[in-house]
Amino acid sequence: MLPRALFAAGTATVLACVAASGAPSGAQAQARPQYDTTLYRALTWREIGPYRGGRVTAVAGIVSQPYVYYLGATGGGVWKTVDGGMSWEPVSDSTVMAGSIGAIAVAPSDPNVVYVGTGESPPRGNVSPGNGMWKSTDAGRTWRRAGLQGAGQIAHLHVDPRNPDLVYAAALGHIFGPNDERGVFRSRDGGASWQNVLSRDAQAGAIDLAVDPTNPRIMYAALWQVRRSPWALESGGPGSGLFKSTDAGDTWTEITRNQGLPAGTIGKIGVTVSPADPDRVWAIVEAEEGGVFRSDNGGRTWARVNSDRRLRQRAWYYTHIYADPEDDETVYVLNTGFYKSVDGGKTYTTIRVPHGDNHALWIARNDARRMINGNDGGANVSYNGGATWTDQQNQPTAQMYHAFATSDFHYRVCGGQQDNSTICVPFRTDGGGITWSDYYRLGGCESGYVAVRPDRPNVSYAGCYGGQLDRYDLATGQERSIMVWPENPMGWGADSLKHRFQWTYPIVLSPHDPNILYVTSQYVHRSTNEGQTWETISPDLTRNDKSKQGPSGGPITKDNTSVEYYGTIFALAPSPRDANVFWAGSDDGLVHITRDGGASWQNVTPRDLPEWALISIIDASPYDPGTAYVAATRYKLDDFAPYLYKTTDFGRSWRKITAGIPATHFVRVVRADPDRRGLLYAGGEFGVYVSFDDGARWQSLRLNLPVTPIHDLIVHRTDLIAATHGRGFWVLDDLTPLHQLTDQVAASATHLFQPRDAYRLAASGSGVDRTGFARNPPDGIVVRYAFKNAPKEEVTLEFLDAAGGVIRSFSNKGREEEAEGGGGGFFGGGQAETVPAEQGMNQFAFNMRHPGFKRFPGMIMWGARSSGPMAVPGTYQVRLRVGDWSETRTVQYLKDPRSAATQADLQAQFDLLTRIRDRVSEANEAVIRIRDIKSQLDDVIKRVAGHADADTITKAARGLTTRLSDVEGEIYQVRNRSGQDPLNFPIKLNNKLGALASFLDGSDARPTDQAATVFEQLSAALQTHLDRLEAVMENDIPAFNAFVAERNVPAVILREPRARRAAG
Amino acid sequence: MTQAATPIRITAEPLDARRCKFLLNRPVHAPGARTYASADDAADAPVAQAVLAVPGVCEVVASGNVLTVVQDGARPWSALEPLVHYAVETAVVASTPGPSASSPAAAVSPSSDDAMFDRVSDIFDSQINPSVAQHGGKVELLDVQDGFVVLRMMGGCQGCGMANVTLRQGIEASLRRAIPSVKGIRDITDHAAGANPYFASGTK
Repeated sequence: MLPRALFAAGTATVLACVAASGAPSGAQAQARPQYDTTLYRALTWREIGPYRGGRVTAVAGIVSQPYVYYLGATGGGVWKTVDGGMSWEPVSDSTVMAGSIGAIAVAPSDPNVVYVGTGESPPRGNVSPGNGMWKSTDAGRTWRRAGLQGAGQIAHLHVDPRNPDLVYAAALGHIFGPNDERGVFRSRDGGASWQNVLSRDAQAGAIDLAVDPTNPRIMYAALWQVRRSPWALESGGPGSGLFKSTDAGDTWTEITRNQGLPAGTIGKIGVTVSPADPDRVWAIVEAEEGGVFRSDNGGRTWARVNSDRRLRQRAWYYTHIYADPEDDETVYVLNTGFYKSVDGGKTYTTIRVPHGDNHALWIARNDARRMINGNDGGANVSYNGGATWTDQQNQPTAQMYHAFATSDFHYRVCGGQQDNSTICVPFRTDGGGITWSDYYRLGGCESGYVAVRPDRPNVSYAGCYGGQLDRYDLATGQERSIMVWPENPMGWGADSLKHRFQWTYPIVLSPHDPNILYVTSQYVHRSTNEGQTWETISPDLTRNDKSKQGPSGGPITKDNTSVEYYGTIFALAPSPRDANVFWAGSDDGLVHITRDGGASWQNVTPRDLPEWALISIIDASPYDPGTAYVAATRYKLDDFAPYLYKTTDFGRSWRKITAGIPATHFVRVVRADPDRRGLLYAGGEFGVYVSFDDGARWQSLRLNLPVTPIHDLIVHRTDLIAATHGRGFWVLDDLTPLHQLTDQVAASATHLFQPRDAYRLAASGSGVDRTGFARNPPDGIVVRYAFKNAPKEEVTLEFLDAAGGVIRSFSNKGREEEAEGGGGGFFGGGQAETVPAEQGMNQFAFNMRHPGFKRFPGMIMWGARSSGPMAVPGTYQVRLRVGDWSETRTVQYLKDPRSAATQADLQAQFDLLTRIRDRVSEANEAVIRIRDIKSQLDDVIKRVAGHADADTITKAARGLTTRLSDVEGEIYQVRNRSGQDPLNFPIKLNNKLGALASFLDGSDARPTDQAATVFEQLSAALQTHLDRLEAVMENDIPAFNAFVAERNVPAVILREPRARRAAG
Repeated sequence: MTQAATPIRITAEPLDARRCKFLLNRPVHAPGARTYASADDAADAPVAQAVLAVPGVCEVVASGNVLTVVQDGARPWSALEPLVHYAVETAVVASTPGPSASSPAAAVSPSSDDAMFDRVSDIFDSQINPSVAQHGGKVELLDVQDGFVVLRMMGGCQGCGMANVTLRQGIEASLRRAIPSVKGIRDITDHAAGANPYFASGTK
């Protein structure tokens, strides 16, 4: 056994929980926000999908709770299911400050205790760094930091089966550079402090840890020497090795070279102990003579039992092995496939999983049928040993590379999803939400940019790694390869290629002419005939350092997929102001400009930009051709600083603009708002930021967005769209309040923002809240207003027509008019009634529906529209009142441009719906009056008991009641008691009228002629009964009153009913 | 895990979004339908209790080898089916089947039923189905339990007004003639489109 002193780096070093060592810590750079963030607090990010999973490398289950599991997405945070994987909810969004999750472990002795290690361990090109350990003691509801902030990527966690405070972490360390905080760590106090119990050097960290469940003092750990740089991945070296401890980690013995294990350079190792026979240990080893090795004597000697390359290909990405908890002959290996051996590891069969590329597995200790598996498509649960799995369309953790918004009225947000396909998701639908049936794919594949023609949105151009480029026609499904140079480069290093196309290379349509398409390798290529031919319009605009273009991978396993192709143009930005101006940024740190359409290019790289930075995004100013913004990053060089630059003189000089962005929050994208000069947005690993002064100061715009890597932002039709690398696409609906935010607004006690013009959408809804559905934005007009302090007076919002007539009025004191009654069968509604009135910005959405019909308690109708008619397109006003203060804004309510209906058609529809609404109200008022009189008649009967004329009065009262009930029963089905009773008891006139409204509503169209006829008939029938009621009122009731008055009995009082109007 | 001697095989037949009938290859509950709406209700029926613990399940109607499971409607049956299967299997392994080991269902001799199943199956193939096929129907043999033949009528037989006549005077009589030890038949057909999801009351 080697003494601990041999592992000098960090051995027995106790790290305090709060210690930080260079990894992203979130330290705030010194800059005061320009505006109090509460001034835009009511703006919200809205998730739009796609609802499909992204890579998961951490999973965990609970032995005693068979339907509860956790998954850790590699950009999407921690998720939990309580129904066996049928649905998932994010549980770490509010506190865990990293989206990349590397490991999860639940304390077996107390499942309320959950540990999370951030930073996924597979170091693929898009790997995101972690920021240490997090812990929950309430089963995932809340989290707090638990140390190891500098540990980079945390690959594995183990919690002692009896003690929830005794936890081990296998920390890989910084994946992009050397650091000391790596190896196996142990905490005896629940993560408050950590002891580094096994480490080798600053290059190698711990990748796996296996503990003997029958004796947790015995453990095996694998160290791995690995480095990811922008141009290479290196797996293996003297730092890799296999170790064993028999004293709970106090001391370790290296067993890498024990008899039977491979000689030569060692790379990644996975290790597992059989719970059924703890002397049996398997290891899967990356080595020239690697494979699956087995020891039957606790690691003393080994034998290679399998060398199949299916199990050890692309070793840096996989190399995972798991012993079956019950059978010592059964072992599982993860690679692109999921493999199972029942003969001690010699031969394997494939277990089908919903998605390939497997990284994680948890098997219930007491039941091998129950397992959760993580792969590049998400996590899936099985209750039958892998025969069937839950699906992955219930976890929106997609890693999107970029976003493109189409010119459709309901614009689509399109992009490539890591290890999946390109996909387009509408920002809203005409249904109740956004779901699978609304998605479609374009050409290309997982990694690519996409560009959709604005003039023909069916036609798009989409990329894929290896320089693949497709022209896709959505109408025909035809996908034509239009590659610049259709020679597949797979497996070759960049230095041997004619064109170096990066994994994600720019594909850009000219903002001036949709017939001109640009793509970039180390050159800028242009096609004016949809890819039939290409011309190269630039020289090599990179540093073209051949030492960084060799084959990637090694020293054991090469891996060339174009992720590491280096010396490429990574960003291309044509100026929207000048068709001859282009900006090009390379992944090796150069910025070029052409001002003559590509005839000549000038190197305009910012002088203080450190070398080898990745120019991630260049945004050409929408205001003038000499202004541009650059987002660069060096995180793959272990430098997490943000690099943002601005030029206003065609690149002759640059100003660094990062004040206000935390010093370790690297950024990937910057965009200028086209509707307010100087308003900028930036996105990066840990958030979204906004600047109101052209980059001089930044402040957070993350709002409700989870902490998830932002890879792209685009501004489209005054919305801000984020392509996240772990949570799909998100939209910040409506940037217009940010356009209006000024010092004057900030200083105002009260301010009503000018609302954005809204479209009248007859068929839209926004109410679906179900797994697999994303919400639409609110219908109608969305109003924002801000208070310096929460007002004490009543706050009201009034919506007025052009003539100043009030359509609806809402207050912070409660509902305008409380709707009641009910049962099933009403259409419409969903309108919030209470106006929020808190300090800062508030938001209220009005669906532009006039008040609905009057209702009465207990009313049950079938298929009746209770909400009022939707306002016709036109000019409207919004008035905010606070006590005596008021402010009014004019807003346009626009016709749906897809609709063929004319304004006259919509007015006719509105008029008829209004007449129907009023007629239903009249019918219901009659019911209310009848019930009031009948109630009084009942009282009269009770009061006259014992009176000399009791019998006569009672008989007269009952006669009246009968006549009234007869009328009531013709107007309303009085036998209804439950929502579906109308199927048993035929609906009556008020319901038929209400249902007629529901037939007419929901589309932009003039009412049919027959609808008008039916209305007239129903209305006439109603009038007959209203006339009967009126006759009773005018004749019978006065006669009855006179009759009882003669006998000194109080009369029946005819009064107006206390009717209530339904919510709009 | 100790596996049950005979692996449980389950066929799921969704009736609608909320109800699904699970047919098992052996009884896990005493005959005669009982409805369980909570774990407390099912204290003496471990299989029903386990199924009630499956997320989303709100009611279980158990009878012999048939479980009709009612869920809240939020999940597709394709997703719930493996969980129900898992719950049943786990409960069967963990306990003796059914609320009472001495119940008729538990007292079945599997070997005699198995032997009878083979003979009945031959008769279905050679006589009964060719006959009912002429009327557009089909009768499916599901199991033999304690001497009772469990079947389901399909095609033109399902919902047919003459189904009971066919059942009693045709099929049952034929079976009794050929195999005197047949005690009777149990028809689990949904003749009324799912209105009667467990054993029809007329069976004997």
